[in-house]
Amino acid sequence: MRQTLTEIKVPGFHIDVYGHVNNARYLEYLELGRWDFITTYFNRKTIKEQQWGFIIINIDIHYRSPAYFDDILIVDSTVTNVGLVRVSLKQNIYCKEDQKLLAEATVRFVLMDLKTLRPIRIKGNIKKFVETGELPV
Amino acid sequence: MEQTNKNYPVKVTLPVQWGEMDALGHVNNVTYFRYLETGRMGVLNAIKLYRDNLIEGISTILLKIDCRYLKPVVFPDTVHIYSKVSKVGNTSITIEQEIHSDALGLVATSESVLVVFDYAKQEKTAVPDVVRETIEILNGN
Repeated sequence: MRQTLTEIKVPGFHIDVYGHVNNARYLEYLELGRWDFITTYFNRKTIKEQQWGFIIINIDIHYRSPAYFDDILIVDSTVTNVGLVRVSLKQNIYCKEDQKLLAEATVRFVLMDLKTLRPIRIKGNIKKFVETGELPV
Repeated sequence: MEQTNKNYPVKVTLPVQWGEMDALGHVNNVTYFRYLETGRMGVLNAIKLYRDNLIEGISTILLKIDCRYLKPVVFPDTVHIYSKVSKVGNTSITIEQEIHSDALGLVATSESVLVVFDYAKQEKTAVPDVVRETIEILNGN
């Protein structure tokens, strides 16, 4: 199973008037986790040459516990399903110190052909690319 | 904040900032959540749950939110966040939202659940009667 664990230290300017990390910052943490996942597992040269883009179509996030200044967080990102068009990524945010679950999210995205702005069907070589990060020669 | 129609009584209008676009040339996905947050604040202000008009220290905490991205927004444009309270539970409220842009029409939909929270006691609490009544009025009932 392909998984990345991305470490983030909460800076002071991510704290809102309630004294905890603002809800939208969690989405930025998820974004950092996804970039870590993409750069770890996908050949970026192929993505650039093919003019593809990973385009998010839905994010569903549940907030379980607040994060605070100086917390070290872990964003756990794992692909859970590869469909014909959509890919589902499970992303959980933990506090590193006590492993407490702070938020859990499901992110669905498509592989978009940026030339036509149409989603690409994930089959054949494209499926191999999504699953392995490399386009078969 | 502008009052609009019965279905979505709270409307907030924001100009799209150039800096909200990412490398793909459209507004980054996280920014949609900021638009939705600003819309929610319009609702909370209208129903007396915003932090500056707290009733006995009671406000809300976001439990969950989802966003369906329908179209990519590009600068220059203006977005309008339409919001309504769609459900009132014992200790929570549900807010439905739509983001429309001048150029593209409907660009995203969202549903969020907010728990009513007593910040002094650090625990969830019942939706105050005055809030329920204000929501009824806001929804035109």
